[in-house]
Amino acid sequence: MNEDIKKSNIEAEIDAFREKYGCLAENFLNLKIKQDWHTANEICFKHEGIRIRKFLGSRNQSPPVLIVYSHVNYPYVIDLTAQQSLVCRLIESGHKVFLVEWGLVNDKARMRDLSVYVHDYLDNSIDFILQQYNVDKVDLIGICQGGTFSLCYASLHPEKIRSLVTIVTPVDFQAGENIIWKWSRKVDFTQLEQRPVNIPGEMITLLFQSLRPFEEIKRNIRLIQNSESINKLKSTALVDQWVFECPDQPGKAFAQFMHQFYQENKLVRGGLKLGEHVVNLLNIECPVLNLYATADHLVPPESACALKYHISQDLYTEISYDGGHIGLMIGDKAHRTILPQMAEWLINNQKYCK
Amino acid sequence: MTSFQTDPFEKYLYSSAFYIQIANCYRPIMKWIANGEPEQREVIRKLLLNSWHQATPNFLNSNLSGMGSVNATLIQENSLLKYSRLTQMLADIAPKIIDEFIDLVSEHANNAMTFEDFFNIWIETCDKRYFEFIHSEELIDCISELINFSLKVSTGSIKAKDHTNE
Repeated sequence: MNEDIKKSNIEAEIDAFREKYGCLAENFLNLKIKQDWHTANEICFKHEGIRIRKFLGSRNQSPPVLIVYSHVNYPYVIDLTAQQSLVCRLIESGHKVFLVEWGLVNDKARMRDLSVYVHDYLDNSIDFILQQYNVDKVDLIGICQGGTFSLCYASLHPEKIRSLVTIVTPVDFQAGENIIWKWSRKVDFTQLEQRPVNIPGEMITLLFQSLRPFEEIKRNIRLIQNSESINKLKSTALVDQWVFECPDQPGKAFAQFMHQFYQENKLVRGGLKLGEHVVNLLNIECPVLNLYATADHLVPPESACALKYHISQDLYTEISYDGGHIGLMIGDKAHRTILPQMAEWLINNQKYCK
Repeated sequence: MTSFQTDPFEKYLYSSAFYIQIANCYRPIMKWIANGEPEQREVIRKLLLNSWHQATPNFLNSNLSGMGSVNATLIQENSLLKYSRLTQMLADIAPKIIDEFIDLVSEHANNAMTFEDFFNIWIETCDKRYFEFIHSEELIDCISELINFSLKVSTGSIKAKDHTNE
């Protein structure tokens, strides 16, 4: 008797799951997943390959904040929907928000030195904002690899940065269970640096997909089981689509980044040179807020938290988020608690560090 | 050579297949545990192995082998050998996962286990062993060789192209 009940239970469960999968498939096909910015914006600056995107809707007197995103993914994840938008949280708290975009990775880009991105392009972008808004300093928010770039820049030009927020930013590239370091340890990036080819975005996508496939399955099963929720499906599919769309990587800059930052860990070991510029994190003079995720499988917390040992202690504040790498940008909890705290921290610094 | 999953819908599809395959194993495994027939363990192993082969290697293999896709025309014998080594390494982790899973669910002989618990043990076991696998030196060597080979082919062709353009 009991066995019969179990038998009918599991079969009913499989049937119900199949039905829910059918529902998800139907809803998915009807979804219009459009990768677009949620917040109205305009391009306010163009220089060689890069652009600055200005998000509209902030008050005239709001202080400017420049977001520096990673090369590795497209930046529209910072402004997916009203509920999942770092841009919206910043505008709500009274900031004028700008984003630097790295531009197309074409044949010209493959020969471009990392220092052009990290130093020259960032410097041009920041100078534009300083002149346009007649201010002496700008607040920077660096995300993931963009956080690493921002740290380098803030150490080279401390006079231009009022405060810096780093979000899921690798600092010690060999700390913790760092799978990207392990997988790149034996790769010969010298040949790529000498004869650069651009790296297909698909390869980066597959790298990310290879890391936690069973975690992904668990999440997808939950999604299927709640397939009647169109909103949930839409927000998940938007993020999934974003995950699948890694841009191509400019060959030379990519090779230099992997070689100097991952293989030689020069940001913390010392000796990091970007073109003619020697990077020393101790040169950073502004307050730094470091947001890291405790379950980050791409940037282990140990890697991000290492920052506290490499800048002046009195400048450093950190906030931990109980979740993963992307969750800190799009998770409900992050948007309810962590990101508003970050916005408040920026406002307080603007008051006291004019 | 390999079809790469670069569409979110495919992820939902293979996740669903993974779930249904293990759901189909639930009843026979529960029955085996309740009957206490250790000599039938091999039958259960085969059942799980079949489930694994039906649902799992495709997406793991295509993701991992795609790591060497800097150059899409990797048809040389050398690279095919590396791909087959990777496929074999992936195949080798299945028996370890299955044995550990059988041991874990067998501990529940005296209390009824829901399918949800059963599924959670299965996926946690897969996750744990896969984590060890991707951190292993053997896999790191294999991936590095694939990427280095792919870079060599690509940088070689770009050198020729640059030379022609000069």
